[in-house]
Amino acid sequence: MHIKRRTFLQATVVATAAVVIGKQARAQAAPLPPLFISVEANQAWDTTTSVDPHGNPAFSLYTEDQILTSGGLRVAPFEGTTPFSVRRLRTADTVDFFATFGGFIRVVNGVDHRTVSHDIGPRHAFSGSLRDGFPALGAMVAAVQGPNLPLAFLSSGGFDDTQGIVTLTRSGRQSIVRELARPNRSTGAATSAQFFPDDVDALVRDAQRARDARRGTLLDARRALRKAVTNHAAMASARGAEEGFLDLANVLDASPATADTNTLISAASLALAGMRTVPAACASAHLSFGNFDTHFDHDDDVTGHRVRMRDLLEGVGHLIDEIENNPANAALKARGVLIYVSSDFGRTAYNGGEDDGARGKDHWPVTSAMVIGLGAMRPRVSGGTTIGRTTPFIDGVLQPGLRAMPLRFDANDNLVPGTSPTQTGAGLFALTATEVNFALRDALGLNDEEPAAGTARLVDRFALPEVDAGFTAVVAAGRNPILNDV
Amino acid sequence: MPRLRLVAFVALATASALCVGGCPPLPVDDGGGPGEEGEGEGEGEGEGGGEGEGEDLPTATVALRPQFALPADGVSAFSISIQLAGPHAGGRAVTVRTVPAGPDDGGGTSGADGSLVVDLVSTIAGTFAIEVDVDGFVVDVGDATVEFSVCRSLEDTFLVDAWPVALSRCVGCHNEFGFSPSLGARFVLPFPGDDGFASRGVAAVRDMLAFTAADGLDVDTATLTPEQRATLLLEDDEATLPLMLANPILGDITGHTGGVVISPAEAVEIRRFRSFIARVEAGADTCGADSVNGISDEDLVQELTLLSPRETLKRAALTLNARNPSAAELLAVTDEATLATALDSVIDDVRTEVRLLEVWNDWLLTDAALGQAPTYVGQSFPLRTFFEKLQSEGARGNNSCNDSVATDCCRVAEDPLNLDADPDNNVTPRPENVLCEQKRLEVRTALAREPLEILRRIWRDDRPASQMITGEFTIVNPALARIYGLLQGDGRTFRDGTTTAFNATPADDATETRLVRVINTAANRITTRNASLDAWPHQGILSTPSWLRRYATTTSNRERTRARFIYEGLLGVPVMQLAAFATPEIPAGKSLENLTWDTQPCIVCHTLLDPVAGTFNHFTGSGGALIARRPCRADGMRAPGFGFVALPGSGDADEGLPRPALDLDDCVATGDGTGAGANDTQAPARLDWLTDQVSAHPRFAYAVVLPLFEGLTGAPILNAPDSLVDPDFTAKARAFASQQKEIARAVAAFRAGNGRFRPVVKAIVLGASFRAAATAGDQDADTNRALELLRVGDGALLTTPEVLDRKITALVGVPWAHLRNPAATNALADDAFYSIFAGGIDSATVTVRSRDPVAVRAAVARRLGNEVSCIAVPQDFSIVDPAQRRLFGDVEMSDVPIDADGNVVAAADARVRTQIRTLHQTLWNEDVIDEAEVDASHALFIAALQAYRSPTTGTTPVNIGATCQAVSAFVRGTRTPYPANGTVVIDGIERRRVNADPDFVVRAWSAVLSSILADSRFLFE
Repeated sequence: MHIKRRTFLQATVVATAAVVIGKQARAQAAPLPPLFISVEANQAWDTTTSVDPHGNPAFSLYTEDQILTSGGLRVAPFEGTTPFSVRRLRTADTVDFFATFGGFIRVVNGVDHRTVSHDIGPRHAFSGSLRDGFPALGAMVAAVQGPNLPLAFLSSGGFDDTQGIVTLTRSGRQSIVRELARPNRSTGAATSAQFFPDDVDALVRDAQRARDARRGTLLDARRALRKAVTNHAAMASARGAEEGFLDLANVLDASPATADTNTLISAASLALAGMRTVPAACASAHLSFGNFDTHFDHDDDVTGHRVRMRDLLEGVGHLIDEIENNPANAALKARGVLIYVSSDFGRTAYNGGEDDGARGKDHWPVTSAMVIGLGAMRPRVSGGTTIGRTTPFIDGVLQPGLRAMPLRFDANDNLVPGTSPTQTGAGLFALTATEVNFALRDALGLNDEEPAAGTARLVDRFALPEVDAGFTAVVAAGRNPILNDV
Repeated sequence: MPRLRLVAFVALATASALCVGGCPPLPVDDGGGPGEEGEGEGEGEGEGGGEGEGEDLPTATVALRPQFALPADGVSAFSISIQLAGPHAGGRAVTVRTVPAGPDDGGGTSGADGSLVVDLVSTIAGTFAIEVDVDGFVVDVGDATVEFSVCRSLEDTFLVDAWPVALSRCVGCHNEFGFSPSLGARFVLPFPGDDGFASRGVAAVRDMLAFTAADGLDVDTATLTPEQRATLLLEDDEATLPLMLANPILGDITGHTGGVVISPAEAVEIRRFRSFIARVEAGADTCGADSVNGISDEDLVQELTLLSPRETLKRAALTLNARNPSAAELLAVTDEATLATALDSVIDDVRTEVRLLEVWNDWLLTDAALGQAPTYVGQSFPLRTFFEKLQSEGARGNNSCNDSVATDCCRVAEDPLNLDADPDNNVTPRPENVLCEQKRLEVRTALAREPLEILRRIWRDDRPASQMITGEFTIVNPALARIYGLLQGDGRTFRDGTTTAFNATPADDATETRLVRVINTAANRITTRNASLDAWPHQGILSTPSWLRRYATTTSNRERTRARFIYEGLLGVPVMQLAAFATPEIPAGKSLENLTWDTQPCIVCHTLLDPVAGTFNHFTGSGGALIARRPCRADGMRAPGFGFVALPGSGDADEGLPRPALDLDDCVATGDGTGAGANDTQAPARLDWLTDQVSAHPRFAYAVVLPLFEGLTGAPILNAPDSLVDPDFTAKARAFASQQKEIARAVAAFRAGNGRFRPVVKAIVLGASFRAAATAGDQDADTNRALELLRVGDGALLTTPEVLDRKITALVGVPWAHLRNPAATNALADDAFYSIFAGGIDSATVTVRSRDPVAVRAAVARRLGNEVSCIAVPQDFSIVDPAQRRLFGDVEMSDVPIDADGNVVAAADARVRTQIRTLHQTLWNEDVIDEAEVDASHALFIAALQAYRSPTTGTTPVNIGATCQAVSAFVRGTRTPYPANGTVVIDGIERRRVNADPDFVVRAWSAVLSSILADSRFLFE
């Protein structure tokens, strides 16, 4: 049986109300959609290094019998039969990544990104469209959930195009955020000396607000161009977000500083801080990490691909662990967070090496994605599972890169792979990043947007073209084939 | 404002009762003739009862009205209101058609009350019969004549309609470099930015129409199916269909190599394209001589008022020099002519270089290397072993330094430059540590900035802009000259004996430069690696390691990234938009590399890219120079060349002749040192040939202008819209058309100035995009939206963090050092601090600036105000002579405008007001002082003073907070203390300590200054 999303959320609300009914006459909390974190593995990851193992010497250093089953997933070893081992900051230990966190992860293999361009690949992965003019999924989430939040859409780089639907805030160091959140403090510390006493600081702020109002009137009177008028209004409005920033700074103070050498962990920490404030200061974050473009030296022990993959997984593990297990993030967990990890596209089999450099791997359109539902999102996501399949062969002939098996729906609307990359037939379709984004949009509540009168929903304004019709029908029926199994 | 004038419309209709089959036809009755003429909104109405065949027959009333009040754009949308009355009026399927095809068709189902409104759009004028089809029964309800008193020319219709709707999809193949001419196709479209883009486009269409008609290539419509005829909106009397229409729409039938480009389902696009074709075929504007107030020049500039000459000078000085113009400069500007003269001083100011380098880095993004340790692959970089000595442990290569041990890079045994008596001997150790960690940063910076230094020199010397890619030189400072092996043992004298030595002052080494060729020396062994070379194969920025690394290549990329830059950055050809780039049809087992040769859509782009990629044969990897020529690539790559001209010296049989791009690179393994042999390692560099071609191409001027236009105006370069469902389609199309015209003016200045940068900068500053101030009058919503999309306007955009940083230092007198530590880099100048939050870039992962306000930028503004005023006010008051102060020349700390009882002290109060006016004038660049704002600042000063006197809790300390006190010079380096008593002269300025503030005046001024600096007038450009 499957639960339609709205039914599930209503059940949640009822449950919540029952808990508090002794304290309040009525709990009228409206269900909030989950928050969203997208993680971009920059410059095309090689998923045979991690979640889509193939023990073929054309693709990997490990053999088939060295492939691990861990956390419910079939995964590549880091080296030999050694699993990926990552630091867990919260408990100051080191853990087997997939054994510890694999149960949260829904792996999607055989996603065709239909491009090998570093410009187009990230766009397809994180907006669902090959064409220009589509915002990142994280931007859409922020635009629907909280366009006026202080850090509505936070990004540390990568594909974060907003198409103007929401303002983008670039991520930075936490100490810097504290400094900006406390503009009247000599440093970012809450107890550092103030530039002005509170009453004088209030006078300055009041004077600024009054100035903004007068300037707006003046611009109107001067028939200033609309961009000047709207940007001035935006600045005036932006000044009003100060409290949200301060909440963020207080949250950062209360949480252990996580300025880590792993830049994904640092960026993730800031995003989590923004999301755990009540109300959340940040609705979505796009975290860009690393450089996986190993055209050469793919297997270098220090700078090679699996080392970079390990660092990426470490950052992902940090996110999972913090949300699921850190009491400071209880509100965030209760709200629910959806994490989506993807990349430009995938990589080929080994190339011949360049000049005197070691061999590497080149670009290939077929890749994988990871979808992780945490907290209130968790029951909807069958973690520790894999959908989609790839093969390095077609009719026994080794291919330059992994070939994706087409997919179809079984009687229960679960996705099952075909038997050959070239198989055609009723109901079979190629899974692309378009379908993945289509499913994520639904899971994130974007289809339930109630736009202002006279405007269209964002999902209509940026309707994804060429989504498989069968896939569309299943999602419309309340099933999410990327996130759910029956 | 021209308005649509809708002439002649009435409709009457009657309809019989609904019945399936056998129902009598609806009678025609057009009683009423022409309706009222409409002025302004141009409404016309007609109604009538008409006679039917039965008393219960529904009647129809049809009224026509325009949707917009001012449809002055050549696209008229109007509504047809249909009211069916009678017993069977509701739920009827109604279609409205016009004959001949002109306005779009429309239809729907009548409501329960029999009403229906159908909206039609017409892009052409003319008289059309309107047919109303009610459930299959057609009634001709009369004529509507659509005239546009505003007439859009063919060229503007091309720009605003035909190009976005259809032809922008064709140019991917049908361009001068492209796949179609390689097959011998005649139809070649220009790209935006080509001279006379719109007129050339119209001419190309006209030529093609005439050609296919004359040569019998047009499609015989009798061969088409009814469905195809319906798709193409063919009339019965149209015997032939222009191939130009058939190919993109029925490409799968006509054998169009590009297939179907406009889907048959895109009815509106087809109609509008057909309308345009029809106008071109007609040979003249259908607007005709009767047009009133015809506008044949879509140019939103006409909707603007511009900054006055003085206001323009102010904006230019702030933007380019981060300063206010002096009073004398302003007085000298009285009109456009004197403005042009005054701008020369601004443009020639050395501070303009700094701004332009930021603009050019936004284009090149080579500053990404500042934060990265460059890595060089293979043995190709001639100085690799030298360079790697300066890298941290773990960098690729041997003998890497370990920077966790500070002296390690200078390990005697590893000293790479060996500056002892035998400077060319890399083996003998040197006792002194001459290259240490601090030098490592200098070298890394010099290498990263080399392309920008070349541009700086071209600007400074007023050289032709083409030298940025043709110049056989580079610019080195002492660090870079050393790493290139150009210097003698003293680190100052050049080995060539002719280049002027560097001075003996290391303090200016970062900025002291020489123009050089990197010749072969014993220290760099260029000739050892390639006997045919006696120097680095310079080609301006394209041969610098920094650029080569930013646009790196691999075995599969094969220099195509670099070729893409050639097209996009130096020719303004949007390579990534030429084809819908997807790989869904990869044949099983086929290598991706070979797809570029023979598979759509790959060949569309690779026809352009691959030949140009081949000219980079002497450069490879991530910044290294391949001195030896790359072996021929016999599969998957077109022969080196540009356009359809083969690279001379390539040994190709068609060398120097125009040739189809499909010829394989037939490089023959001659091994004789002259041809493109696989074993040939002595072939000379040929990037020089390419750069000569590119710099001579007309589009080079356009490409050179684009980054300057975008950087100086803040307006992104617009693309034509490509989706009619976009509610902003028309506004975007108009904005695109207008911006292209603005850019064309700057391109004309470039050419008139013999290809130099200075005239371009001047033209941009004098142009409407830079000087836009306000709207000239009331605009319709569409025009307002178009203007908004242009992103122009005084005060529209936040200043970039770099310019703001310099502005603070220049106008306020102190830098905004992070956390007030003058030894730290400035808060807005470092992406480790606030620059990214303030909308800046790091050139690596954040490559697009943000100029719009968001919450975090408001937070930056608040901190800016508080922190800068904290330092600036006491420091300024520390200057004893008011005439030497930057800010507070009109008051002293003793000027307290209210006494202890709150009474005004008139003289002091007047001085305070004067000072406030000066602050507003200086920091907000105001000519005419807004007295309301003076009052507001004054009120804040008084309120702050009183708050300090009577705090809500406790008492206010006499001394200013320690973090803000002026007790020493606020400079990098030696911070000379101010004496507790008396004064000290520093750099000719007498200063005193400012820490006590018994009257709270200093702190009150800090409050005022904070509010001024955080205001939009200081933050926006």
